[in-house]
Order: sequence, then C-alpha cells, then structure tokens
Amino acid sequence: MISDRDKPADVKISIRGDRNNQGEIAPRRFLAILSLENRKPFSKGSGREELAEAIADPSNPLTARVFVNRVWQHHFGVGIVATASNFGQLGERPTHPELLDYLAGTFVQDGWSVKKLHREIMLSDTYQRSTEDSAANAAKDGANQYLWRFNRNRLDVEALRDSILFVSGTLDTKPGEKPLRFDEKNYKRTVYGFISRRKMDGTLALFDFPNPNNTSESRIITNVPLQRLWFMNSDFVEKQAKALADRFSGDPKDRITAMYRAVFHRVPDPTELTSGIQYIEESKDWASYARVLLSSNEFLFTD
Amino acid sequence: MTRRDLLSTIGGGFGLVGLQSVMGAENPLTPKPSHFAPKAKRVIYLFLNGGPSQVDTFDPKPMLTKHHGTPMPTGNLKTERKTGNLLRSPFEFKRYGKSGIEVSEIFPKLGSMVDDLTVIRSMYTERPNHEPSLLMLNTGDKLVGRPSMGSWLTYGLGTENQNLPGYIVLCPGFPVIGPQLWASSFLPAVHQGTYISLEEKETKKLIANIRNEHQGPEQQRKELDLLEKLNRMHLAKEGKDTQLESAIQSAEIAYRMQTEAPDAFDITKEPEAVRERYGSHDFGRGCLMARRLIERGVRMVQVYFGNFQPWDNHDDIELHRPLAAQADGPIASLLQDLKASGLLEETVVLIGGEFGRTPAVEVGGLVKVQNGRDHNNHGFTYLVAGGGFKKGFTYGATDDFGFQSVEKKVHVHDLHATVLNQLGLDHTKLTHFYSGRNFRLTDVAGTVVKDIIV
Repeated sequence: MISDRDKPADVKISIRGDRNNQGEIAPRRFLAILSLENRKPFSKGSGREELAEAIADPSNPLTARVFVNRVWQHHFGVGIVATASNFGQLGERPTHPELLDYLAGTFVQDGWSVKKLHREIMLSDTYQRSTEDSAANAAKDGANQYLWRFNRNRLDVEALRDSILFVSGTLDTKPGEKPLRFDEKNYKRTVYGFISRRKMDGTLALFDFPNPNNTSESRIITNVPLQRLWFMNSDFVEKQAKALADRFSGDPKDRITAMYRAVFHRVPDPTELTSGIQYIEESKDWASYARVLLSSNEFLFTD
Repeated sequence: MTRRDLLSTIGGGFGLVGLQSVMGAENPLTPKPSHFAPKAKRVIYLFLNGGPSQVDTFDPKPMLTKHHGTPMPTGNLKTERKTGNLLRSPFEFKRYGKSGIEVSEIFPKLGSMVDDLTVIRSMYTERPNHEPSLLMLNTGDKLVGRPSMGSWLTYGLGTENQNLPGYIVLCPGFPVIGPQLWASSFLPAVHQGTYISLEEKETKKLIANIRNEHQGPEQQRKELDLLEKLNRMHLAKEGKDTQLESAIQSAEIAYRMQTEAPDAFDITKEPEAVRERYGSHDFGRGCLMARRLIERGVRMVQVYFGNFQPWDNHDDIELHRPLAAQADGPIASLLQDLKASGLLEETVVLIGGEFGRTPAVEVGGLVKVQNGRDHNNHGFTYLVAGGGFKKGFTYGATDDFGFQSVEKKVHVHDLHATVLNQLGLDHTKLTHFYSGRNFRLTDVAGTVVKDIIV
C-alpha cells in the first residue's frame, strides 16, 4: 500500500545520480519529450495518480506498444522491436510495425487483459511453428526476422528449475507466501524465491539471472561449462534425478518409456530405448539415467 | 560406437578451430583480439581493503615529522570525520634498491622489490567513504550498477583457459559491499567475477559443483557418454545448430575442469619452501593461488587482503605494522616468482586500497586512542608492477604533508585507462550499449598516463 506525505515536495535533480551533486528543482510533471508545449506541473498531491493516468491514457500508444512487445519477446525470444527498452532513435526499428500496432490496439480495447494478449499470440500460426530448419527460407532470412520458424531458446533459469521440479514430481504448486532462499527445503516455483540484491543466488547467477541492481530488458543467454558442472554435480540435480527415477517402476522398457513421457512428452524411439536399457543393465543406476534426461539438450531447449 | 568415434563422424571432426568457432557462437569467454598489440595479457589486483596510509608506507614526508603536533598550515581538507593536528609516522623510511626509492620499515621485503615498481604518489578520488571509493576503484563509478574492471576485461578479451573462470576474486570473508565489487552488472552474467572464499581451506570445496560426491569418475564418464550419445541423436534430428553443439562441447570441457580447476587452487602442490615464503595467512595463500591461476591463463585475479576492512585504522596507525607484516612477504614473493618465470612482463600487478589516510590525527568521538588517521580521498599511493609499467620509478606527488595530490595528479579513471591500454584496449572504445547509450569503464573521463609506461 502506498500513501503520500501530507505535504509532498519537489526534489532537486541529483546530477548523474549523485545526491552530493544536486542541480535545480525538478517540478513533478510528465516527461517533456512526450508532452505538448504547455506542460503543467501535477497538482493533486504527490502527482502519482496523474502520472499513472498519463502513462495509461488510451491516447498514449507507447505504453501498450512497449508492453505487448515485452510479452512477444517472452514468447519468441526476440521482440517485434528487438530493443525492448528503447523505442527511440537509438533503438531497433520494429520488424512488423502493423502487427505491433494491432496487438497494442487490441490490448487496450480488451481492457489491458494480459491473458487475452497471451491467447491472441499463442493461438497464432506463427507461435505454433516448430524450430525445423529449411534451407530455402534460411537462404532468404537467416536471422529468422520474419519468423518462418520458431526460435530455439534455452530455458531461462526459472523455467529450467521449475521444469526439473515438475517432471521429478517434487514441485510444490502452492503459491509462495514469504520469499524462500533456494535451499534444499525450497520446492516452490522459482518466481517465489528470495532475490538478494547484495548477494545473488549462485544457481540463478549461473543461468544468467540479471543483476537485481540494474534494469534488464531481456535475458542474455549463455552456454558455459560451469552450467554443465551444475547438471553433473549439484545436489539439486542429484536429488531431483533420484525423485524422477523413483516416480516410475516396472520393467526397464516401461520405466524408460514413462520417464520419456514425463520429461519429453513423447515415447523413446527404438535406438533411444535400446541405449537406455543397455545403460541400466550395466550401471543399475536409475538416478544416473534420470540425470542424463534432465541434462539433455532436448529438455534444456524449446523446440 | 565410442564417444570419440561419434565426435569424429557425426560432429564432422572438431579440430581446435572448429571447437572455437562453435563455442564462440555462445561462449563469450573465447579469446578475442585486442584493439592494438598488447603489452600485457593478464592482471593481478592486490586490494589492501580499508585504506592503507600513504604517509606510513610509500610516501615519506619529513615535513610531517617536523610539524608533528601542530595544525596543518593550510588547514585540514574535508574528510569523513573530524581531524586535528598533524601526526608524524611512527615508522622509519629507508632507501631501497638502485632507484633509492624510500619505503617504510614495515614493508622491508616489498622494499627490496622497489626497482620493479612504479610508485604513483598522486592518486585521488571523489569521496572519503569506503563504499563509493571501493566502487570507484573496482567499477569506475561511485554508485552501484557498473561492471567491474575484471568483467570489462573478459568482455573485451575473453580468457585463455576455458577450464577456469576468466575472472577470479579471492578474499578471506568479504570486503565491504562484497559481490557488487566484482559484478558484471549490465554486461552478460558470464563476465562476473567468480568469488572464492579463502576461509575455506579444503581445495575441493573452493569451487561450486566441482566434483560429484556420489559417483566415481568412471561411472560419471559413462553417464556423460550416454548424454552425449542422446544429444548427438537429437542434433541429427534437429539439423545443424550452434546452440546445441555448444552445449555438447561445454559438457566435455566441464568434465576436464573437474580435475584441472582444483589443481590450480591446490597450493599444497607447491614446495614447502615456496609456501613458507608466502606464509600461512589467508592473504598469502591468496597471493600464491593468484600466481598459479595467472600461470594457467586466467585473465584477472583479484586478492582482497582481508574480511571487511582491515586497513581502516582510525584509532591507531601502529596497527599498520602487523597488517604490513602479513602483506609484505606475500606481495614480494609473488613479484619475485612472476619475475623469475618471466610472467611479470606480461602481467599487470596493481597494489593499493580504496583511498589513503589523513596526515592529521583523527579526533572524532568514535576513536578510543587518538593515534590514527581518517579516510583520505585527496591523495594516496598506488603501486604497479609488470605489464610494461616503468621500473624503479616514482610518479606525481602529494603536498608537503601528504594530504592532497598536487603534482601530476592521477585519477582512478586515468589508472584504469592506463591498465586497459597495457592490455591492448582503448578505454574509449571498450563500450557496451545499455539503457540508450554506450558505457565504458572510464565513464566519460580518463587519460592514459604515458609517463608511467615504457
């Protein structure tokens, strides 16, 4: 809950963010670059409400455009405007300007419903395409700007951790209450975890979680050996692999098939099945086998 | 089919070049060319956190002794707390080496290496407080939110040894602010410093996830072979894809890291005589590890002297003596060893803290004994060795009492610009576009100090 002071006051500009180096008083009002010439200071209390109204004004197309672009970026890995935080001169041009305006306009008409926006995007043919390659298309549009296929994306750390817990049958789906540290007792979704600005969790940092002291317009995705060490040796993956292995029983063929269904949503092909059976016969180690599936590229990347 | 057969048939036979191009697609740590021919390849930053006093270490001031107990003639500059009359150094200074540079008696071993050092006596920064000055020295800005120097270096140059992190930070406990000092901030997270606690004495526990507690190496090899086989089949189905190939290669590198990385940190592999020279104090162990890491091609290693801020001697400057006793041997040994192996030529070694201390005694209500010094951002000393910096050379000067830099002043941005220059990087061109504009380590300032480099 936010409440205003009795007598809100204007503050001075901190030049280059330094409060020891103060400039002139900056009256509370909307941004100059987005206002007409006769820009007036806010008059109701702190001005917070007037600021919110100006941002969400239906005649201001920027807010809706920026928002739908971010949602698009979450789905496709790249926004219609590739620079999600920069729609200005120094940013990228939209690849599909009409689509951006269509989505923004529909979003406002639908009462700013994020759920309807997701539905609109996810029911499209574009969203439902596979990552399958095509030499002819690649020759024309190698960077896939026109989305002739789906971009292959590595799961971000939230999706990765949640998915591992989910397929292992250990995910606690109850919404979080108090944020919990990512220790051995935490089985809740990653979004409910405790984020420290002072000392970031090691696993989150390892999988490119942005620094909480900075704004971040999109995830930077890396593939480095330290991430593989996490799959190979961490207690977390060890435990979840055991849990996944213990979820199923029966003869090796049935058990492997059940694990493939849980992890990849498909049945193994004959070669995969033979490899699995052979591995189990030699090692007798189901947890090790489960870790292989959890560490695989098919699990780590969206196709 | 064995793993190697698979590599050579399905993978089309990865030579080193092929491997690098695949990894380079998604591994930002692969080596990159510098802007121009570099003098140095690596950096060791020995950080004496808390703020060592220049007038008690490397900036002798006879006038301070002479005017002891009297007010500073030009008045005291503003620092964090209240200061009083001038306070002479309790330590004797002595000339060392061919250069005859004077060094305090509390650093005799480092004094004997003075002919290999550039002594910058005119450093300055903006704030007399630990946090902004720690951030300034490490990230080039007073506020939280900029990438650290080590992050900029791996961002600009990658790193030579893919089996070890490119930027490693060693500290017993944590310095003030802690992880923000080695954050990659808006640069990709892969460039953040890898922090290793020197309080952990067991080598295998130093690096997260470096070994499997439940599985022997043979079983793990078999597990990884199966993983690779399944990944190769997946790749064959999906068609050529650098992301997928890079993840497969990463697993192989990770497997090797498990043996190579702990070995780099394992100082018990050093002869007894060597370990004795570095001493058993955490900082000494850190210096020896730094040497082993640099020998293996790590781009930057930073060693903090101690937990919190040991050099922050507000009460009693005599406390510098035991601190120096713990720093002197390790720093001198590190320089000697790097010199003997020839690595000093291509390694910049930076030695200093976040600021200096006042020549005037601190008289604020917080001190019990009035024999100490307050923080001083107006003037302090940095030592630099190797990497094409001049040898046996002093540069710049503070005033007669050592309060303020007055001659050939060197700002932190200038020091950063010079270090980057030695690594073949133009500090104005090493930029990253973020939040609507390009950022760099040196903000919008910094000049390469040509007079201190060869």
